Amino acid sequence: MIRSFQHFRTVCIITIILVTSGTAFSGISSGSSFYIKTELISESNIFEDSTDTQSFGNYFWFGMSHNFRLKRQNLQLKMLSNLAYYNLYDSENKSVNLLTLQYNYSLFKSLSLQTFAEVFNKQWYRSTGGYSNRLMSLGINYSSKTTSIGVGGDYRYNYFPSYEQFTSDYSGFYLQVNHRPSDRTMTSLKISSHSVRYSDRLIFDIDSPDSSGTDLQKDRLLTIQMGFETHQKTIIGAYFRYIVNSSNSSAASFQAASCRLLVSQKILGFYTQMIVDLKLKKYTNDLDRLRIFANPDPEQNIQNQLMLGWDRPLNDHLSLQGKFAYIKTETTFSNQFYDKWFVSIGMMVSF
Amino acid sequence: MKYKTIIVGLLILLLISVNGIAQKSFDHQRDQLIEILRKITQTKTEIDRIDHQLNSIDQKITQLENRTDLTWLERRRIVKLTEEKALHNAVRLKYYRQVLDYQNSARSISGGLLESIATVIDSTLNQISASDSDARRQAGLDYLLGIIDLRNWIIDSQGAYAQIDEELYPEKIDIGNILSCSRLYPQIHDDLLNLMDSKIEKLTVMIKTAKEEEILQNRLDQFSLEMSSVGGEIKDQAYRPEEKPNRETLTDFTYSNDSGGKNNDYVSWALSTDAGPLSSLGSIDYLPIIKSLEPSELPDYIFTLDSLRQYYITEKQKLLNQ
Repeated sequence: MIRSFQHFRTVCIITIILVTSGTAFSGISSGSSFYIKTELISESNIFEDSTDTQSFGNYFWFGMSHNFRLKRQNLQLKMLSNLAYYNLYDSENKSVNLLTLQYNYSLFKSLSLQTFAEVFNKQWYRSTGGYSNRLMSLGINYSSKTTSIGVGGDYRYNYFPSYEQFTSDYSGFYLQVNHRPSDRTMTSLKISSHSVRYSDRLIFDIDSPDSSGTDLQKDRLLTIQMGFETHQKTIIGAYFRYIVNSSNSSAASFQAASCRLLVSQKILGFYTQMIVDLKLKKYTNDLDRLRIFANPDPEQNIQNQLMLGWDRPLNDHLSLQGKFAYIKTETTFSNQFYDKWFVSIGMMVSF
Repeated sequence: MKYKTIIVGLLILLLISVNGIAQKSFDHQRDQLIEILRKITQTKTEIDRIDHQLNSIDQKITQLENRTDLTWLERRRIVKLTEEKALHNAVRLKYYRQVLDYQNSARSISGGLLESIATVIDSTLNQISASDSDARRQAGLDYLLGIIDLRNWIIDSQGAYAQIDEELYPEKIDIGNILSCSRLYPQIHDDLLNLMDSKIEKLTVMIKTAKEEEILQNRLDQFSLEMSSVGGEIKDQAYRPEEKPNRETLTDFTYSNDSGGKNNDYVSWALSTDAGPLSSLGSIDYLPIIKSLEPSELPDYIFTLDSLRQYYITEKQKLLNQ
């Protein structure tokens, strides 16, 4: 109950900040929108474990976006909030809150300074395990009519109050090149390198699992990603990503190759979306006979999923929406997988 | 851009060959003028910036000079500030001369353009009035509307470079009035109404298509964000690049429904837009029916098309009231 109140208070405070900032900047505001949505859901394996517990429930969504533009400056604020309620399993009731702020300052005609900040929080009302993360990014972007090149650094702090061993920070740099060969096509390449430091997680030696090392785990994460998108009457995109994680803990090093396909199209008056994620992950060492607690939230680190969405506008502000998802990904333990499906139908009001 | 130029070129050639009415394109001069207008704005912005710095220096000097018994350091500070002020003034003078040069160039180009357009309008009017062929008359009217659009834009843009005390802005043209003297006016009146209807219909389709794309983009983004937020790895799940090649962002602009009024929005739009595909938006060369833009550009694009559509609806109403 207390957490519900805290969540409600957080949502109210953020809403007031956004609305008042929108009023304060009303002279230069170039657009804002918000929506609320309620969904009836049915979900299998809600605990993402071997019990395969199924439940009905409700999702409540609140989204808000403000965009301020003034000559050389552009500021975008976004907020997304989700309340999840499961009929028979109170312990899984949770909330998700996301606030992002993006600020661009145009230094010259083609050169701009770009900053990005993100605060994310996920909280279970009746059980522990909630966590939050904060991201800061700063970079320079060169942009011409057909190509943009961005380079910068970012820092992310992941805070797990109930699982201190997972509290960590990421710091590193990125290089991103986007090119538009034609009006309808976009290609992109992104390379990033991050060092990951855990504040309270000791290294694990798979050869002697009973004796933990004394050093803290440190990872080096390298990501290479490329993709393209084409916008005809249908939006189609394909992205490929290769990740190498080198860790001083022998159970944490892995390589992974993944791809995402996305399609958005209007069919018979319905706006439809499809997203497919596939990931092949290979740990450097054989973990088959070990149960290594690697992630406190199995809903994170989604690896394989098929997501379908549809939207049927009823009028300018009201629409009927639905989703279907099939997910197969790692449980809280490395290399142990679960699968689940998710179906929802809801009504959205947007302004 | 390449395809668009080819298509526009082919259309012009087609019109010339089919209709036999000579149609001159002023794209090059218009793009030149847009480029100069942008330079004027940029340079004026720099002058404003320097003026702000000069004001700040003046204030500091005044504060120091108002003190009694200035120390050596304070006197030295005044000397340094005065030197800095002289440097800023020199740069300001350089920018000011640049602005004058740009304004002279802009006046020269726009004057030449207006003269050429006046000649072309006269000859096109003659050809329209003398033509008994429906197809040729309609093609001529279509071209005439585009030329009048361009002329109106030049008149609107003169505020940025004309010496207002010395030069009088030419009047905008009311197409209904200038054609009313023609012996074929009843037919021309009907042709114009049909043309307006066709343009309004075309713009309506373009607006609808752009809105559809905007909805598709928004729904996909929302769907992706909602699903990844439940998981908790927003950034890791975001494959789509956030920063894309920069099309110059449009500022709002509206066609003035009052044909005699100034249209500052149109001027600011032209000033802030590259001489790329979007800057050529007018009835001379419409954008393709389906056009991909950044999500952030779509509302402006739709607004621009809607403004054009409103302009033609108003013009059509004027014709109906005649």
